[in-house]
Amino acid sequence: MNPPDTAREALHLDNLTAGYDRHPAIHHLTATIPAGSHVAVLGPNGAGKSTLLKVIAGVLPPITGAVHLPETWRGRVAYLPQHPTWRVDFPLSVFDAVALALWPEVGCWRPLRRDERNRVHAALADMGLTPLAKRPVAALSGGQQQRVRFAQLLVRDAKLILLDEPFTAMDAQTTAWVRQILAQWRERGVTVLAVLHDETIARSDFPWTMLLARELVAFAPTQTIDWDAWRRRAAQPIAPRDDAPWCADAPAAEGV
Amino acid sequence: MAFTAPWEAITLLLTDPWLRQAWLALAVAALAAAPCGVLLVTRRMSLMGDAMSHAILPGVATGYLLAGFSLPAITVGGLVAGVAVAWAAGWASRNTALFEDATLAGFQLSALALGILLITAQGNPTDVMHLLFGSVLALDRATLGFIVGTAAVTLLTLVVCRRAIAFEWFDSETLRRLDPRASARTYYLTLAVIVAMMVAVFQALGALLGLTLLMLPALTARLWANRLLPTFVTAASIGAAGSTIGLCAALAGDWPPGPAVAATLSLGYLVSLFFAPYGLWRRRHPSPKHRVA
Repeated sequence: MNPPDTAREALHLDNLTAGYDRHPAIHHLTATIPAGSHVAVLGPNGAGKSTLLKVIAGVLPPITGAVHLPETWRGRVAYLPQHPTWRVDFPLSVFDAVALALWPEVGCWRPLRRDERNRVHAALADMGLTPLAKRPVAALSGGQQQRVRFAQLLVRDAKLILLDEPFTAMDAQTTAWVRQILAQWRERGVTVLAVLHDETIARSDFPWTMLLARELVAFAPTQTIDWDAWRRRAAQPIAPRDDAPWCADAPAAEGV
Repeated sequence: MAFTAPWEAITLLLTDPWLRQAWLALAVAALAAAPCGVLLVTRRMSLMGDAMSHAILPGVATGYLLAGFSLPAITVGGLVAGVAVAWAAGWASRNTALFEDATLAGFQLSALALGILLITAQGNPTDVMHLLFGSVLALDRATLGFIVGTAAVTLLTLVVCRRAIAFEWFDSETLRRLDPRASARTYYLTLAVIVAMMVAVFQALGALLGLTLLMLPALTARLWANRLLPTFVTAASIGAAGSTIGLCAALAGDWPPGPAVAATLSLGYLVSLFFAPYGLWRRRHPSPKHRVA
């Protein structure tokens, strides 16, 4: 049930296994995600959703298999981790925090150009953060900080955007804004993979759905998903077992 | 020196060449040390200074063993040992599950042990103790030059690399993902500058009290400011003002200058702890004045 390979560019996941301490969180996953598709990634706790995004973002090296990105996407992958990685002890203002996201274009030495400053201001305005631009990030609420993280994504000119539970701690207004932004990204052909907990958002905003339970359960157009069957499948426990047998597909590991 | 009236102390500070030199060294060192302290405080590395004062010991001892009581040799030894320990601890924390404080604790204890072994190996440790307790009123030209030069390089580095340092300090993980080489270079360069500044203040006030020039202005500034630039500027101003007032107090009261400067900065910190805008009093008793929305 793979999607049709219509687009030239695509994100290829090739027999991907990744995890922690030799326990795979995702197990031999193969999929081709065409450029421009918006994919909701769903699965129960511990299904490997965040792990999948980390491997694609290059934060976690795969145990086996590989991620193949198109050449033009290099340096243009934006990743929103589930929890902010910043330290709010450092009293950076909201504006400066968003401007940091321009690093791949601006680099270390030169100051921001006027058009780049305008992009930051536009991103702040899109997320309703203009009145808070000069406040330190630490003074913002959890939901407002989530909006700062979205503004950071907005100023990037990304080809692939990886979102790990983007709707956490968002009020109705912010959720509406983010759904608008998703629509803009869809129009511009930006590829989005989003880990979600809420299948209603998957059904309303994501044409494609990937169902994970450590293994790939399905990758299909959202409207073709049999949600009742999926809920029964998702209810089965997938805790890693310390006495699980070694995977026969893995190449013989040295020193085991 | 007999008891001197405050205004006489100020006149002395401006006219006596040794005192003027001490004042210059302290004020300039404080100006550059305070921003380093802010960087340590905002990365939860406030106790790094104490660890570093132990970590420079094997270098100081080696410099002394090789060249006798020569300030350049001891300085270079301390600098090399300090930067080596800071980098080793930083490298370990970036590449293992342990945090900076944990790896630094491990490395500084190893360095302390080595330093004590080296010092006891050569018999007379009294000269080395000069470096550990400082001698601001007897600075030679070379030491003064080292302090002022280090302060200038430190301030220049912080200003030129401010974007990279801000990113590395605010969100190291993201910078490492976007640009791993920039992240590593920024981190190690900033640590090296901070350690160099520590060695410089150690020469003025000694390894035990020198840290007050880094940490106390930084901590005090965090109680007065909650934005980036104001925090750095406040810290540098408090450091320079505190060391000037402390030196005057030392002259007026015939106290040793190091403890007088440290006590002045401590007093400022304690008063701020209670009465500054982000201190205890305002937290318990918020100002009834507030904005409309």
